Amino acid sequence: MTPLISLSDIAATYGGPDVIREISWDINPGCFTGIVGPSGSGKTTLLSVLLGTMKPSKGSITRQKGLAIGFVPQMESIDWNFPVTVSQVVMMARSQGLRAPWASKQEKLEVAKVLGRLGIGELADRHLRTLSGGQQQRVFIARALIRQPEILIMDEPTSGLDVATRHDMLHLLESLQREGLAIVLTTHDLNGMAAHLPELVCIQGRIVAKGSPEECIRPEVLEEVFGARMEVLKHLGVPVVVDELKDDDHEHPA
Amino acid sequence: MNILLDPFAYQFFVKGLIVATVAGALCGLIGVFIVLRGMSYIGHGISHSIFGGFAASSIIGFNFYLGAGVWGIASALAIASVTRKKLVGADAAIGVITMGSFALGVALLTFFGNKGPAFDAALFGSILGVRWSDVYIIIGVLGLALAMIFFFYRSLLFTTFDPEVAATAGVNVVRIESMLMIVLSLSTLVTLNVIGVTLVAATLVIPPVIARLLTASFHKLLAISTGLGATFGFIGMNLSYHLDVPSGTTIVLVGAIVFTLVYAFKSVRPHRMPKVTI
Repeated sequence: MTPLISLSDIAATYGGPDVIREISWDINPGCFTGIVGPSGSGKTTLLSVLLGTMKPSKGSITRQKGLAIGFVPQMESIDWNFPVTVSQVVMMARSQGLRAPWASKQEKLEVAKVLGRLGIGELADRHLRTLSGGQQQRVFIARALIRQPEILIMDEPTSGLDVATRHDMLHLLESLQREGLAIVLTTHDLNGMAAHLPELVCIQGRIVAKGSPEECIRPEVLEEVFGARMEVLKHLGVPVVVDELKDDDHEHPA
Repeated sequence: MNILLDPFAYQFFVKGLIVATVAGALCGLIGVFIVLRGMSYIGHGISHSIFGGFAASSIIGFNFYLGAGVWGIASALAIASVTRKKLVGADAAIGVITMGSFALGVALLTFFGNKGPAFDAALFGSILGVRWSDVYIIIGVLGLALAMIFFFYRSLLFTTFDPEVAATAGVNVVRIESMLMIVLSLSTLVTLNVIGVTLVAATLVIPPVIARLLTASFHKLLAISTGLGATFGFIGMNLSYHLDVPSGTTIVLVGAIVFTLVYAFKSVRPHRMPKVTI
Protein backbone atom coordinates (compact mmCIF):
# COMPACT_ATOMS: atom_id res chain seq x y z
CA MET A 1 0.00 0.00 0.00
CA THR A 2 1.45 3.38 -0.99
CA PRO A 3 1.26 5.79 1.95
CA LEU A 4 -0.64 9.06 1.52
CA ILE A 5 2.09 10.86 3.45
CA SER A 6 5.45 9.44 4.44
CA LEU A 7 7.68 11.10 7.04
CA SER A 8 11.31 10.04 7.30
CA ASP A 9 13.47 11.13 10.27
CA ILE A 10 11.71 14.52 10.50
CA ALA A 11 12.77 17.30 12.88
CA ALA A 12 11.16 20.75 13.15
CA THR A 13 11.97 23.86 15.16
CA TYR A 14 10.71 27.42 15.70
CA GLY A 15 14.29 28.67 15.93
CA GLY A 16 15.32 27.11 19.27
CA PRO A 17 15.68 23.43 20.14
CA ASP A 18 13.82 20.89 18.00
CA VAL A 19 10.11 20.74 18.91
CA ILE A 20 9.81 17.38 17.18
CA ARG A 21 12.64 15.05 16.14
CA GLU A 22 13.30 11.56 14.71
CA ILE A 23 9.74 11.29 13.39
CA SER A 24 9.34 8.48 10.86
CA TRP A 25 5.76 7.55 10.06
CA ASP A 26 3.72 6.32 7.08
CA ILE A 27 0.11 7.52 6.93
CA ASN A 28 -1.82 4.98 4.89
CA PRO A 29 -5.14 5.33 3.02
CA GLY A 30 -8.18 4.67 5.23
CA CYS A 31 -6.27 4.97 8.53
CA PHE A 32 -7.91 6.36 11.67
CA THR A 33 -5.06 7.54 13.85
CA GLY A 34 -4.81 9.69 16.95
CA ILE A 35 -1.66 11.65 17.78
CA VAL A 36 -1.58 11.58 21.57
CA GLY A 37 0.42 13.84 23.85
CA PRO A 38 0.13 16.68 26.37
CA SER A 39 0.36 20.39 25.55
CA GLY A 40 3.84 21.21 24.29
CA SER A 41 4.58 17.67 23.14
CA GLY A 42 4.75 18.72 19.47
CA LYS A 43 1.28 17.53 18.30
CA THR A 44 0.38 20.76 16.53
CA THR A 45 3.89 21.12 15.09
CA LEU A 46 3.61 17.61 13.66
CA LEU A 47 0.23 18.54 12.13
CA SER A 48 1.77 21.68 10.60
CA VAL A 49 4.47 19.53 8.99
CA LEU A 50 1.83 17.09 7.67
CA LEU A 51 -0.19 20.01 6.27
CA GLY A 52 2.87 21.55 4.64
CA THR A 53 2.53 24.88 6.47
CA MET A 54 5.81 24.24 8.31
CA LYS A 55 9.01 23.03 6.68
CA PRO A 56 10.96 20.39 8.59
CA SER A 57 14.50 21.37 9.55
CA LYS A 58 15.66 17.81 8.92
CA GLY A 59 14.41 14.69 7.17
CA SER A 60 12.11 14.24 4.20
CA ILE A 61 8.37 14.22 3.67
CA THR A 62 6.68 12.59 0.69
CA ARG A 63 3.05 13.21 -0.21
CA GLN A 64 1.10 11.26 -2.82
CA LYS A 65 0.95 13.27 -6.05
CA GLY A 66 -2.14 15.53 -6.08
CA LEU A 67 -3.07 14.57 -2.51
CA ALA A 68 -6.09 16.58 -1.28
CA ILE A 69 -5.97 17.30 2.46
CA GLY A 70 -8.92 18.54 4.50
CA PHE A 71 -8.03 20.35 7.72
CA VAL A 72 -10.23 21.11 10.72
CA PRO A 73 -8.54 23.57 13.12
CA GLN A 74 -8.99 23.77 16.88
CA MET A 75 -12.32 25.40 17.67
CA GLU A 76 -10.57 27.66 20.19
CA SER A 77 -8.85 29.45 17.29
CA ILE A 78 -12.14 30.52 15.63
CA ASP A 79 -13.52 34.07 15.91
CA TRP A 80 -17.18 33.22 16.62
CA ASN A 81 -18.28 36.84 16.14
CA PHE A 82 -16.98 36.93 12.58
CA PRO A 83 -19.90 37.90 10.30
CA VAL A 84 -20.32 34.67 8.30
CA THR A 85 -23.01 32.05 7.90
CA VAL A 86 -22.56 28.29 7.84
CA SER A 87 -22.77 28.24 4.01
CA GLN A 88 -20.19 31.00 3.70
CA VAL A 89 -17.76 29.11 5.93
CA VAL A 90 -18.13 25.93 3.86
CA MET A 91 -17.74 27.92 0.61
CA MET A 92 -14.40 29.27 1.85
CA ALA A 93 -12.85 25.97 0.77
CA ARG A 94 -13.53 27.08 -2.82
CA SER A 95 -11.33 30.18 -2.69
CA GLN A 96 -8.31 29.27 -4.81
CA GLY A 97 -7.48 31.56 -7.75
CA LEU A 98 -9.83 34.01 -9.44
CA ARG A 99 -13.51 33.25 -8.75
CA ALA A 100 -16.76 35.17 -8.78
CA PRO A 101 -17.67 36.47 -5.30
CA TRP A 102 -21.03 34.69 -5.28
CA ALA A 103 -21.61 30.93 -5.12
CA SER A 104 -22.66 29.26 -8.38
CA LYS A 105 -25.76 27.05 -8.52
CA GLN A 106 -23.49 23.98 -8.64
CA GLU A 107 -21.52 25.19 -5.60
CA LYS A 108 -24.73 25.83 -3.64
CA LEU A 109 -25.84 22.26 -4.42
CA GLU A 110 -22.49 20.89 -3.26
CA VAL A 111 -22.69 22.89 -0.01
CA ALA A 112 -26.25 21.64 0.60
CA LYS A 113 -25.12 18.06 -0.08
CA VAL A 114 -22.17 18.10 2.31
CA LEU A 115 -24.17 19.84 5.05
CA GLY A 116 -26.97 17.27 4.58
CA ARG A 117 -24.41 14.42 4.79
CA LEU A 118 -23.29 15.77 8.18
CA GLY A 119 -26.85 16.28 9.41
CA ILE A 120 -26.76 20.08 9.52
CA GLY A 121 -28.50 20.88 6.22
CA GLU A 122 -31.11 23.08 7.91
CA LEU A 123 -28.42 25.31 9.44
CA ALA A 124 -27.03 26.66 6.14
CA ASP A 125 -28.21 30.25 6.69
CA ARG A 126 -27.46 30.43 10.41
CA HIS A 127 -24.68 32.54 11.85
CA LEU A 128 -21.83 30.47 13.34
CA ARG A 129 -22.28 31.92 16.82
CA THR A 130 -25.83 30.63 17.10
CA LEU A 131 -24.79 26.95 16.78
CA SER A 132 -23.97 24.41 19.49
CA GLY A 133 -20.39 23.13 19.94
CA GLY A 134 -21.07 19.91 18.03
CA GLN A 135 -22.80 21.75 15.18
CA GLN A 136 -19.91 24.20 14.93
CA GLN A 137 -17.45 21.32 14.70
CA ARG A 138 -19.52 19.75 11.90
CA VAL A 139 -19.46 23.02 9.92
CA PHE A 140 -15.67 22.93 9.83
CA ILE A 141 -15.67 19.24 8.91
CA ALA A 142 -18.06 20.15 6.05
CA ARG A 143 -15.63 22.85 4.90
CA ALA A 144 -12.84 20.27 4.84
CA LEU A 145 -14.97 17.60 3.10
CA ILE A 146 -16.20 19.83 0.26
CA ARG A 147 -12.66 19.67 -1.14
CA GLN A 148 -13.18 15.88 -1.43
CA PRO A 149 -9.97 15.09 0.44
CA GLU A 150 -8.30 11.69 0.73
CA ILE A 151 -7.21 12.56 4.27
CA LEU A 152 -8.88 14.59 7.01
CA ILE A 153 -6.53 16.16 9.58
CA MET A 154 -8.13 17.49 12.77
CA ASP A 155 -6.59 19.43 15.66
CA GLU A 156 -8.20 18.44 19.01
CA PRO A 157 -11.69 17.77 17.53
CA THR A 158 -13.32 16.88 20.84
CA SER A 159 -11.80 19.63 22.94
CA GLY A 160 -14.52 21.44 24.88
CA LEU A 161 -17.34 19.08 23.80
CA ASP A 162 -19.66 17.42 26.31
CA VAL A 163 -19.77 13.62 26.58
CA ALA A 164 -22.83 13.07 24.34
CA THR A 165 -21.50 15.41 21.63
CA ARG A 166 -18.10 13.72 21.84
CA HIS A 167 -19.75 10.33 21.24
CA ASP A 168 -21.64 11.74 18.25
CA MET A 169 -18.41 13.16 16.85
CA LEU A 170 -16.60 9.86 17.27
CA HIS A 171 -19.43 8.00 15.47
CA LEU A 172 -19.44 10.57 12.68
CA LEU A 173 -15.68 10.20 12.18
CA GLU A 174 -15.99 6.40 12.23
CA SER A 175 -18.61 6.54 9.50
CA LEU A 176 -16.44 8.89 7.39
CA GLN A 177 -13.49 6.53 7.82
CA ARG A 178 -15.65 3.55 6.77
CA GLU A 179 -16.42 5.46 3.57
CA GLY A 180 -12.67 5.40 2.80
CA LEU A 181 -11.43 8.67 4.25
CA ALA A 182 -8.12 8.58 6.15
CA ILE A 183 -8.37 10.48 9.43
CA VAL A 184 -5.51 11.79 11.57
CA LEU A 185 -6.37 13.79 14.68
CA THR A 186 -4.61 15.11 17.73
CA THR A 187 -5.96 14.53 21.22
CA HIS A 188 -4.89 14.60 24.83
CA ASP A 189 -8.17 12.97 25.88
CA LEU A 190 -7.09 9.40 26.66
CA ASN A 191 -10.38 7.89 27.86
CA GLY A 192 -12.88 9.87 25.79
CA MET A 193 -11.07 9.71 22.45
CA ALA A 194 -7.71 7.92 22.21
CA ALA A 195 -8.87 4.61 23.72
CA HIS A 196 -11.59 4.31 21.03
CA LEU A 197 -9.33 4.82 18.01
CA PRO A 198 -7.85 1.87 16.10
CA GLU A 199 -4.33 3.37 15.97
CA LEU A 200 -2.36 5.79 18.15
CA VAL A 201 0.93 7.61 17.84
CA CYS A 202 2.13 8.80 21.27
CA ILE A 203 4.60 11.67 21.08
CA GLN A 204 6.74 13.66 23.44
CA GLY A 205 9.00 15.49 20.97
CA ARG A 206 9.65 12.13 19.31
CA ILE A 207 7.44 9.09 18.78
CA VAL A 208 7.38 7.16 22.06
CA ALA A 209 4.93 4.45 20.99
CA LYS A 210 2.88 3.59 17.92
CA GLY A 211 0.16 0.96 17.52
CA SER A 212 -3.22 -0.06 18.91
CA PRO A 213 -4.60 1.47 22.15
CA GLU A 214 -3.62 -1.75 23.96
CA GLU A 215 -0.03 -1.31 22.76
CA CYS A 216 0.17 2.42 23.51
CA ILE A 217 -1.98 3.01 26.57
CA ARG A 218 0.38 1.44 29.07
CA PRO A 219 1.68 3.00 32.31
CA GLU A 220 5.32 3.20 31.17
CA VAL A 221 4.37 4.85 27.85
CA LEU A 222 1.98 7.29 29.53
CA GLU A 223 4.61 8.24 32.11
CA GLU A 224 7.12 9.05 29.38
CA VAL A 225 4.57 10.97 27.30
CA PHE A 226 2.66 12.83 30.03
CA GLY A 227 5.32 12.90 32.75
CA ALA A 228 2.95 11.44 35.37
CA ARG A 229 2.26 7.97 36.72
CA MET A 230 -1.10 6.58 35.64
CA GLU A 231 -2.86 3.28 36.10
CA VAL A 232 -4.48 1.50 33.20
CA LEU A 233 -7.61 -0.57 33.86
CA LYS A 234 -9.79 -2.43 31.38
CA HIS A 235 -13.51 -1.88 30.87
CA LEU A 236 -15.30 -3.97 28.21
CA GLY A 237 -11.90 -4.53 26.55
CA VAL A 238 -11.16 -0.81 26.32
CA PRO A 239 -8.24 0.63 28.32
CA VAL A 240 -9.28 3.16 30.96
CA VAL A 241 -6.66 5.50 32.42
CA VAL A 242 -6.84 6.72 36.01
CA ASP A 243 -4.40 8.89 37.94
CA GLU A 244 -2.14 6.83 40.18
CA LEU A 245 -2.90 7.96 43.71
CA LYS A 246 -0.35 7.80 46.52
CA ASP A 247 -1.54 6.48 49.88
CA ASP A 248 -1.79 9.95 51.45
CA ASP A 249 -3.87 11.16 48.44
CA HIS A 250 -6.72 8.97 49.77
CA GLU A 251 -6.94 10.97 52.98
CA HIS A 252 -9.72 13.51 52.77
CA PRO A 253 -9.68 16.73 54.77
CA ALA A 254 -11.74 16.53 57.92
CA MET B 1 -31.13 76.61 1.88
CA ASN B 2 -28.73 78.90 0.01
CA ILE B 3 -26.28 78.79 2.83
CA LEU B 4 -25.98 75.02 2.34
CA LEU B 5 -25.45 75.40 -1.40
CA ASP B 6 -23.09 78.38 -1.21
CA PRO B 7 -19.84 76.38 -0.98
CA PHE B 8 -20.70 74.49 -4.18
CA ALA B 9 -19.91 77.69 -6.06
CA TYR B 10 -16.24 77.19 -5.21
CA GLN B 11 -14.33 74.68 -7.29
CA PHE B 12 -11.88 73.93 -4.47
CA PHE B 13 -14.84 72.86 -2.30
CA VAL B 14 -16.36 70.66 -5.02
CA LYS B 15 -13.02 68.93 -5.57
CA GLY B 16 -12.54 68.54 -1.80
CA LEU B 17 -16.08 67.19 -1.41
CA ILE B 18 -15.57 64.57 -4.13
CA VAL B 19 -12.25 63.50 -2.62
CA ALA B 20 -13.69 63.37 0.92
CA THR B 21 -16.71 61.30 -0.19
CA VAL B 22 -14.66 58.87 -2.29
CA ALA B 23 -11.98 58.69 0.43
CA GLY B 24 -14.67 57.87 3.00
CA ALA B 25 -16.08 55.11 0.78
CA LEU B 26 -12.60 53.74 0.10
CA CYS B 27 -11.57 53.67 3.75
CA GLY B 28 -14.94 52.19 4.77
CA LEU B 29 -14.47 49.40 2.23
CA ILE B 30 -10.86 48.51 3.06
CA GLY B 31 -11.48 49.10 6.77
CA VAL B 32 -13.75 46.04 6.95
CA PHE B 33 -10.79 43.73 6.30
CA ILE B 34 -8.54 45.70 8.62
CA VAL B 35 -10.97 45.65 11.56
CA LEU B 36 -11.90 41.98 11.13
CA ARG B 37 -8.19 41.06 11.02
CA GLY B 38 -7.73 42.78 14.39
CA MET B 39 -5.37 45.34 12.81
CA SER B 40 -7.36 48.51 13.55
CA TYR B 41 -4.20 50.31 14.56
CA ILE B 42 -2.53 49.72 11.18
CA GLY B 43 -4.20 52.71 9.48
CA HIS B 44 -2.82 54.96 12.20
CA GLY B 45 0.58 53.38 11.78
CA ILE B 46 0.72 53.52 7.99
CA SER B 47 -0.40 57.13 7.87
CA HIS B 48 2.42 58.01 10.27
CA SER B 49 4.81 55.87 8.29
CA ILE B 50 3.83 57.67 5.09
CA PHE B 51 4.76 60.90 6.87
CA GLY B 52 8.37 59.64 6.82
CA GLY B 53 8.11 59.18 3.05
CA PHE B 54 6.43 62.60 2.77
CA ALA B 55 9.42 64.21 4.52
CA ALA B 56 12.04 62.29 2.56
CA SER B 57 10.42 62.96 -0.83
CA SER B 58 10.00 66.64 0.10
CA ILE B 59 13.71 66.95 0.89
CA ILE B 60 15.05 65.21 -2.20
CA GLY B 61 12.46 66.91 -4.41
CA PHE B 62 10.79 63.62 -5.37
CA ASN B 63 7.11 63.33 -6.37
CA PHE B 64 5.03 63.22 -3.14
CA TYR B 65 2.73 60.37 -4.25
CA LEU B 66 5.59 58.25 -5.52
CA GLY B 67 7.92 58.82 -2.57
CA ALA B 68 5.37 58.54 0.21
CA GLY B 69 3.53 55.73 -1.62
CA VAL B 70 6.60 53.54 -1.96
CA TRP B 71 7.49 54.28 1.68
CA GLY B 72 3.97 53.37 2.88
CA ILE B 73 3.80 50.16 0.83
CA ALA B 74 7.24 49.09 2.08
CA SER B 75 6.14 49.70 5.69
CA ALA B 76 2.85 47.80 5.24
CA LEU B 77 4.59 44.82 3.62
CA ALA B 78 7.20 44.84 6.40
CA ILE B 79 4.40 44.78 9.02
CA ALA B 80 2.62 41.91 7.25
CA SER B 81 5.86 39.97 6.96
CA VAL B 82 6.90 40.47 10.61
CA THR B 83 3.38 39.61 11.82
CA ARG B 84 3.23 36.44 9.74
CA LYS B 85 6.39 35.08 11.37
CA LYS B 86 4.66 35.43 14.78
CA LEU B 87 7.86 36.30 16.64
CA VAL B 88 6.33 39.72 17.29
CA GLY B 89 2.60 40.55 17.56
CA ALA B 90 0.82 42.67 14.92
CA ASP B 91 0.36 45.61 17.32
CA ALA B 92 4.04 45.64 18.27
CA ALA B 93 5.17 45.32 14.63
CA ILE B 94 2.94 48.25 13.64
CA GLY B 95 4.24 50.33 16.54
CA VAL B 96 7.93 49.75 15.86
CA ILE B 97 7.95 50.02 12.07
CA THR B 98 5.58 52.93 11.58
CA MET B 99 6.50 55.08 14.55
CA GLY B 100 10.17 54.66 13.63
CA SER B 101 9.30 55.93 10.17
CA PHE B 102 7.30 58.87 11.60
CA ALA B 103 10.19 59.82 13.90
CA LEU B 104 12.55 59.70 10.93
CA GLY B 105 10.20 62.03 9.00
CA VAL B 106 10.11 64.56 11.85
CA ALA B 107 13.91 64.42 12.18
CA LEU B 108 14.40 64.94 8.43
CA LEU B 109 12.02 67.91 8.34
CA THR B 110 13.70 69.44 11.41
CA PHE B 111 17.17 69.15 9.87
CA PHE B 112 16.41 70.09 6.28
CA GLY B 113 13.13 72.04 6.48
CA ASN B 114 9.97 71.34 4.50
CA LYS B 115 10.16 71.99 0.76
CA GLY B 116 7.01 70.08 -0.28
CA PRO B 117 3.27 70.20 0.61
CA ALA B 118 2.22 72.04 3.80
CA PHE B 119 3.18 70.31 7.05
CA ASP B 120 -0.09 71.19 8.85
CA ALA B 121 -2.21 70.00 5.94
CA ALA B 122 -0.43 66.64 6.04
CA LEU B 123 -1.16 66.28 9.75
CA PHE B 124 -4.80 67.42 9.93
CA GLY B 125 -6.07 67.52 6.36
CA SER B 126 -7.05 70.42 4.16
CA ILE B 127 -9.19 70.80 1.08
CA LEU B 128 -7.29 73.83 -0.18
CA GLY B 129 -4.55 71.82 -1.84
CA VAL B 130 -6.86 69.35 -3.63
CA ARG B 131 -6.31 69.30 -7.40
CA TRP B 132 -8.30 67.57 -10.12
CA SER B 133 -5.42 65.11 -10.46
CA ASP B 134 -6.03 64.14 -6.78
CA VAL B 135 -9.69 63.50 -7.63
CA TYR B 136 -8.76 61.20 -10.53
CA ILE B 137 -6.12 59.39 -8.45
CA ILE B 138 -8.49 58.66 -5.56
CA ILE B 139 -11.21 57.43 -7.94
CA GLY B 140 -8.57 55.22 -9.57
CA VAL B 141 -7.57 53.75 -6.19
CA LEU B 142 -11.24 53.10 -5.34
CA GLY B 143 -11.58 51.29 -8.68
CA LEU B 144 -8.48 49.24 -7.85
CA ALA B 145 -9.87 48.34 -4.40
CA LEU B 146 -13.24 47.32 -5.88
CA ALA B 147 -11.53 45.20 -8.54
CA MET B 148 -9.37 43.50 -5.91
CA ILE B 149 -12.39 42.72 -3.74
CA PHE B 150 -14.45 41.48 -6.70
CA PHE B 151 -11.80 39.14 -8.09
CA PHE B 152 -10.38 37.97 -4.76
CA TYR B 153 -13.49 38.21 -2.56
CA ARG B 154 -13.37 34.58 -1.46
CA SER B 155 -9.62 34.52 -0.80
CA LEU B 156 -9.85 37.79 1.13
CA LEU B 157 -12.73 36.45 3.21
CA PHE B 158 -10.95 33.14 3.92
CA THR B 159 -7.59 34.71 4.79
CA THR B 160 -9.32 37.26 7.02
CA PHE B 161 -11.34 34.59 8.84
CA ASP B 162 -8.72 31.88 9.13
CA PRO B 163 -5.35 32.53 7.41
CA GLU B 164 -3.70 29.31 8.57
CA VAL B 165 -6.42 27.05 7.21
CA ALA B 166 -6.63 29.15 4.03
CA ALA B 167 -2.96 28.33 3.42
CA THR B 168 -3.63 24.60 3.79
CA ALA B 169 -6.54 24.90 1.34
CA GLY B 170 -4.28 26.20 -1.41
CA VAL B 171 -4.89 29.94 -1.02
CA ASN B 172 -1.76 32.03 -1.57
CA VAL B 173 -2.04 33.87 1.75
CA VAL B 174 1.16 35.90 1.32
CA ARG B 175 0.00 37.22 -2.06
CA ILE B 176 -3.49 38.09 -0.79
CA GLU B 177 -2.15 39.84 2.33
CA SER B 178 0.45 41.74 0.30
CA MET B 179 -2.25 42.86 -2.14
CA LEU B 180 -4.43 44.08 0.72
CA MET B 181 -1.52 45.92 2.32
CA ILE B 182 -0.64 47.64 -0.98
CA VAL B 183 -4.25 48.78 -1.51
CA LEU B 184 -4.43 49.90 2.14
CA SER B 185 -1.25 51.95 1.75
CA LEU B 186 -2.51 53.54 -1.46
CA SER B 187 -5.88 54.28 0.18
CA THR B 188 -4.17 55.91 3.16
CA LEU B 189 -1.89 57.91 0.88
CA VAL B 190 -4.65 59.37 -1.32
CA THR B 191 -6.81 60.07 1.75
CA LEU B 192 -4.12 62.06 3.59
CA ASN B 193 -4.87 65.29 1.70
CA VAL B 194 -8.32 65.72 3.19
CA ILE B 195 -8.20 63.67 6.38
CA GLY B 196 -4.63 64.14 7.56
CA VAL B 197 -2.07 61.80 9.12
CA THR B 198 -3.49 62.02 12.63
CA LEU B 199 -7.09 61.11 11.82
CA VAL B 200 -7.00 58.81 8.80
CA ALA B 201 -7.08 55.70 11.01
CA ALA B 202 -10.53 56.70 12.30
CA THR B 203 -11.97 56.67 8.77
CA LEU B 204 -10.73 53.10 8.40
CA VAL B 205 -12.14 51.92 11.71
CA ILE B 206 -15.38 53.80 12.50
CA PRO B 207 -17.51 52.80 9.44
CA PRO B 208 -16.86 49.02 9.70
CA VAL B 209 -17.34 49.06 13.47
CA ILE B 210 -20.76 50.73 13.08
CA ALA B 211 -21.67 48.41 10.20
CA ARG B 212 -20.73 45.39 12.34
CA LEU B 213 -23.28 46.55 14.91
CA LEU B 214 -25.94 46.60 12.18
CA THR B 215 -25.38 43.33 10.30
CA ALA B 216 -24.03 39.81 10.68
CA SER B 217 -23.54 39.32 6.95
CA PHE B 218 -20.11 39.87 5.42
CA HIS B 219 -21.20 41.26 2.06
CA LYS B 220 -23.75 43.57 3.72
CA LEU B 221 -20.98 44.68 6.06
CA LEU B 222 -18.88 45.72 3.06
CA ALA B 223 -21.79 47.65 1.51
CA ILE B 224 -22.91 49.39 4.73
CA SER B 225 -19.38 50.32 5.76
CA THR B 226 -18.63 51.78 2.32
CA GLY B 227 -21.89 53.75 2.35
CA LEU B 228 -21.28 55.05 5.87
CA GLY B 229 -17.73 56.10 5.00
CA ALA B 230 -18.94 58.05 1.96
CA THR B 231 -21.74 59.69 3.98
CA PHE B 232 -19.35 60.76 6.77
CA GLY B 233 -16.98 62.20 4.16
CA PHE B 234 -19.78 64.17 2.48
CA ILE B 235 -21.35 65.53 5.67
CA GLY B 236 -17.99 66.13 7.37
CA MET B 237 -16.66 68.13 4.44
CA ASN B 238 -19.76 70.35 4.41
CA LEU B 239 -19.45 70.91 8.15
CA SER B 240 -15.77 71.69 7.74
CA TYR B 241 -16.66 74.57 5.39
CA HIS B 242 -19.44 75.99 7.55
CA LEU B 243 -17.66 75.60 10.91
CA ASP B 244 -14.22 76.55 9.54
CA VAL B 245 -12.65 73.49 11.16
CA PRO B 246 -10.10 71.13 9.45
CA SER B 247 -11.93 68.60 7.25
CA GLY B 248 -10.38 65.53 8.88
CA THR B 249 -11.73 66.62 12.26
CA THR B 250 -15.34 67.07 11.14
CA ILE B 251 -15.38 63.83 9.09
CA VAL B 252 -14.17 61.82 12.07
CA LEU B 253 -16.51 63.62 14.49
CA VAL B 254 -19.56 62.81 12.33
CA GLY B 255 -18.52 59.14 12.37
CA ALA B 256 -17.91 59.16 16.12
CA ILE B 257 -21.36 60.70 16.80
CA VAL B 258 -23.10 58.13 14.59
CA PHE B 259 -21.18 55.33 16.32
CA THR B 260 -22.29 56.63 19.73
CA LEU B 261 -25.94 56.75 18.64
CA VAL B 262 -25.91 53.28 17.05
CA TYR B 263 -24.06 51.79 20.00
CA ALA B 264 -26.50 53.35 22.47
CA PHE B 265 -29.47 52.09 20.42
CA LYS B 266 -28.02 48.57 20.22
CA SER B 267 -27.21 48.56 23.93
CA VAL B 268 -30.79 49.26 25.04
CA ARG B 269 -32.43 47.02 22.41
CA PRO B 270 -32.43 43.24 22.96
CA HIS B 271 -29.86 41.63 20.66
CA ARG B 272 -31.17 39.66 17.71
CA MET B 273 -28.93 37.91 15.22
CA PRO B 274 -30.23 38.65 11.73
CA LYS B 275 -30.77 35.73 9.36
CA VAL B 276 -28.59 36.11 6.29
CA THR B 277 -28.03 34.27 3.04
CA ILE B 278 -25.14 33.98 0.58
